[in-house]
Amino acid sequence: MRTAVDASGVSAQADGSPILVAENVTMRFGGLVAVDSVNLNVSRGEIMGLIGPNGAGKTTFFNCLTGLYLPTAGSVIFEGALLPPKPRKVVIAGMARTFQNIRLFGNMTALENVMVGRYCRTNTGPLTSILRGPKFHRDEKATSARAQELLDFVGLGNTTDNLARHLSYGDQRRLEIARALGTDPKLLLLDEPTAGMNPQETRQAEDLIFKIRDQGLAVVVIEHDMRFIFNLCDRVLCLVQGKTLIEGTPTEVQSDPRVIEAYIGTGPENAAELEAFEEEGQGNA
Amino acid sequence: MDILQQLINGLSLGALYALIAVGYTVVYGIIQLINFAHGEIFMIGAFGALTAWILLPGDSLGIWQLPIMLVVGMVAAVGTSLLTERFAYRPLRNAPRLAPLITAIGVSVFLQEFVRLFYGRIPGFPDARRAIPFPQINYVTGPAIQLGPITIQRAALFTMVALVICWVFLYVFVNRTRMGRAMQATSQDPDTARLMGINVDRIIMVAFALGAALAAVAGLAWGLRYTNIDFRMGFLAGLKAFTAAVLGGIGNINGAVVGGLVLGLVEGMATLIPGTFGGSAWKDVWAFVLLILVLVFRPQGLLGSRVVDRA
Amino acid sequence: MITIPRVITPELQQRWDPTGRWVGIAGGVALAVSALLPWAYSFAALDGMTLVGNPSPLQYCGMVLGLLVSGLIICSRLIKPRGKIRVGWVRGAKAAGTGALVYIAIIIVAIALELGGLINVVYGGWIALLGAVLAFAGTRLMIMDKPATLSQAQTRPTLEILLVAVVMGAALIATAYALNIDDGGSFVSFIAFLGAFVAVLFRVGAMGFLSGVSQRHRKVLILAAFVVAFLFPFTQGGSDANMSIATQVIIFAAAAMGLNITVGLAGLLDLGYIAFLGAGAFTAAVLSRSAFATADIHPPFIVVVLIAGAVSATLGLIIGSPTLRVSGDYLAIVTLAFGEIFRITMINLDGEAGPNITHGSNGIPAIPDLTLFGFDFGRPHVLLGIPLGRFSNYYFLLLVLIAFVILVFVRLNNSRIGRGWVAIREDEKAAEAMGVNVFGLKLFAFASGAFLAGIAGAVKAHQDISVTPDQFIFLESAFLLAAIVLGGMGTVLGVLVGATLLKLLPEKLRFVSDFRLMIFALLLILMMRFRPEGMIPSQRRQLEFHEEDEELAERIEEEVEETGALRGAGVL
Repeated sequence: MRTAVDASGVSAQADGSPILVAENVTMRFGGLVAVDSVNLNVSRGEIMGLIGPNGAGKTTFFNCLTGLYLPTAGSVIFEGALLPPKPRKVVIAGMARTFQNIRLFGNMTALENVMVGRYCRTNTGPLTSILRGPKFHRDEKATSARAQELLDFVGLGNTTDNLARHLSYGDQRRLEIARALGTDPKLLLLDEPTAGMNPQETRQAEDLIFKIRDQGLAVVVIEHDMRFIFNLCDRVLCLVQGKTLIEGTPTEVQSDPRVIEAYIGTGPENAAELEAFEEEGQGNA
Repeated sequence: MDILQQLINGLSLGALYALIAVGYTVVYGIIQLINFAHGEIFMIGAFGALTAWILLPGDSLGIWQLPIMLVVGMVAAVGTSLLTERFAYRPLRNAPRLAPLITAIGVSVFLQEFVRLFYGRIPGFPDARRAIPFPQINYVTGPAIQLGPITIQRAALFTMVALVICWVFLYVFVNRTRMGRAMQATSQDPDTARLMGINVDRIIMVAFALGAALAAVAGLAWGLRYTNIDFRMGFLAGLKAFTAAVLGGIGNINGAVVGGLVLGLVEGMATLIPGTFGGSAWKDVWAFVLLILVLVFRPQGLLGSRVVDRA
Repeated sequence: MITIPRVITPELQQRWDPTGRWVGIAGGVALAVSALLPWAYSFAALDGMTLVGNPSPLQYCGMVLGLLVSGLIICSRLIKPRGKIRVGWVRGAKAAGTGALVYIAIIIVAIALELGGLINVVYGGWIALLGAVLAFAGTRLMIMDKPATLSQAQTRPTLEILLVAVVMGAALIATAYALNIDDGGSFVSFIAFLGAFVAVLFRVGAMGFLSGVSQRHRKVLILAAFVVAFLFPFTQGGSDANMSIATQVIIFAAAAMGLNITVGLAGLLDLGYIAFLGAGAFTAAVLSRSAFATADIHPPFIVVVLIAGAVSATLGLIIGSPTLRVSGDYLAIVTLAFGEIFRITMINLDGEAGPNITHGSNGIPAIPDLTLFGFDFGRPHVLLGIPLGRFSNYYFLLLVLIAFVILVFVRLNNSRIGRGWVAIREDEKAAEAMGVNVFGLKLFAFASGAFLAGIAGAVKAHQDISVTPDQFIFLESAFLLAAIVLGGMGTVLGVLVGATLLKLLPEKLRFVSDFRLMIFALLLILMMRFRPEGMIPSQRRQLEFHEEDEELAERIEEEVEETGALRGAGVL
């Protein structure tokens, strides 16, 4: 059974060597400091969680990592090399992402969406496309086969010819992941992959991310669903107002009172939620 | 002293561009539409003024006719502009960008042809297939004014004064009135503006009307300055005016004014370049080269654009 | 927007459907029979409709429409749907009814205009009108059926190939006939008939069937198309007049197809495209053996073509590099500005304002005809017993040119590059985030379009004999853009149809030549309002322009599941 990882890309070992090192990343928009000296270390094969209340700067941080924004200060080192702040170069280096508001190519079919993901890993040029030699047909077949494989991998194997805009919300999120996987990434950044999902879909998402990790990829996940994060992640980073609050194992993070306060507050009106949160934590410890 | 002369010439030309550019920038700032037909609105303003003069009794060049010509020109321009907004552009508000742009090209050609074919058919009106002489109204045209070594055409002075007056009016309107503030809000975020109770449709109409009124002033000024008008005058002037708007920062009204003046100056200076690639034959090329340079090195324009990137 | 209230409600249709059928059949028969009667008082009207029992071509067309109405209604009752195959009998009948009414109305108006008054329409014409009105009313009363699903229908391959040949042959005859029509009224009427006929074919589902057939027998279709195109000059009986128009049409279509890569595929709005055509033309002119040519080198034509293409492509790279990074709206204005820069520069390179390369506004005339491999394009030749003049010679060369352009277009579209372009059109930032080389692809589209325009320009220079700057004004760019926009972005056939109509109509409708620009403008405005994707759009473009139309999206998805791909830049 072919793995979801290109043989020339990632090795399947979660060997703990660092793949992404973000140092003192700062992002300023005029007078507003959205991200303030955040550090992040991700190792191969690791699943990292990124949590924090709304507005904490998580998506902005992602955008700094993936070249959508040029950080005001700090550096992002991927696989030992400094990352150029261009989204395309970032993808070619091996870091792919999904978006908070789904940004699929709505009027393309599911298969075509994933095939677009394969763009940067194929090199069928204009001359080849015009002359239609054997290379062209080989490349096209390989691309579409791989895309179908990825659709199967995420569980969308029978939606090949459906227009992306017609897929259900949960399926669309999975399609985005399939498309990102098409770029043969070594690190996958997922921005709120379970937003709007029901518990069953959330569990499926969990399984999928584990499957992805088992292929040897590292994953960083932004999420609000605490149970999801704590089930899934090896380590968790919590951002509040652009700054790192705490970084550690899920147990460490969830029992830290500052985290609880940042999310829920400690006033009497929040007592019930507080209790639920603590119970939850004990169940997972 | 050639330079100073060209400076003055450039400023007066720039004032014309500035007046037309405001219309482009305001409409683009709110609905991201390049109103291709705006140059033709400028042309219609000129024709409106001419019509007023023809309809007024006698053949005099008395200055008392000027305000009437101005008002009628404005009415014609504003009316045409509102009609195009209502029937050509509004139905396409949510269409992909290509559709309104093509429509705008269609409207532009349509207005040109309309004037060319039908203006002369109204009894008593001159044939618009060729350039039509524009009445040289007393005091605002006539013997040029000598200021030392510089010659200033009266009409050029008129244009510059008109620009200043219009600019003051614009400033007050946009910054000090409710409507003006509503326009600013709409240009930043129409959906939120709508939620705040602003009638976005009406604001858009005001934007079109505003631009048209200023273009009409420019049309009248052009006729006085260049002594004749024709149905094609809107094309190049419109293109240059949009260049000016981009130059100053699209969506930014002050930018449009500054951009227009700068563009006029560049054209004026370009005519002084000796030898090949200089002189009046090449000034248009220089104007467009400037546009390209601005887009490459400072796409937000000299004063920064006011259009938010809706990524 | 004003919504027209539905006069004929579904409830009304339920009640009156049977009556409607009979009325429709009666109307169709009446119309068909009326063709045998005189329609006009004088032979001078249209194509001579005064004889009894001897219908003119246009009257035959009326008969066809009448028979279509009746025939389709009868078939809707007699022929039951089989399996998943559904023929749109009723839909087709309705289209035929409407088409018949429009057609006869146009004919009657034309007769009245040409002879000076409705009094000149004779009883046959009125019966025709009555028939058409009945056909229209009757079909309006019928209950609408579901859309046709003939794209999966198949018959024996031999039959299908025969069908392709028949369709191509019919197209050839229709085109030859249309080109030979001198009378403006006849031309408009015939075009109306063609439009109605094609609309009926669409609604019945024949187009879906044909598109299925064409996908299965693609090579046969292309071969047939070229055979037909090749045969066209032979149908002209030695006259070169129409060939002159035909060559103009093909150059225009080739240029439009190049622009279709930039606009239709990559979604880049280029308003200065004519400059690329001009650059190619001037390059060829300067390097030609004309007495006015300003360069002393005269390379062979093949080389000149490549140089012309390269010059234009380089220009495209020069303009594209800075401006493709900024928003699409700016691109439109910048390309427009560049078009003007080009035109002004060509005028200024006259030896006074600049070095003498183009002789300024006089341009370079007296460009000699091509001589390729000993074949002199300027002299008439006789082939298969039929004399072929100068324009016929160029026509054949142009067929090769446009075949090349179409090939490039189709193959690029159905490739990794084409997918990249669609992704850019859908969501540029997301495409970039997925590793698509957005800037590179845009630049490539821009430069390719320019290259193709350059080589078209090179041929144009020799064909037009002289090249002047005022051949390359903005309005020409607008026409090229209109060809794509009106014909249908992203499809080969759409652009061909659009280009043909835009070049042909002004020739044939000389009686409105004063108003042609205004009509053009109105056409643009109306099309953008009601059918922005063009006459023959690709399915993807239809989706893009009607984002809210769920019914459309579902219908297209069904088709995709059956045929395996979105109908894109194929022939249909």
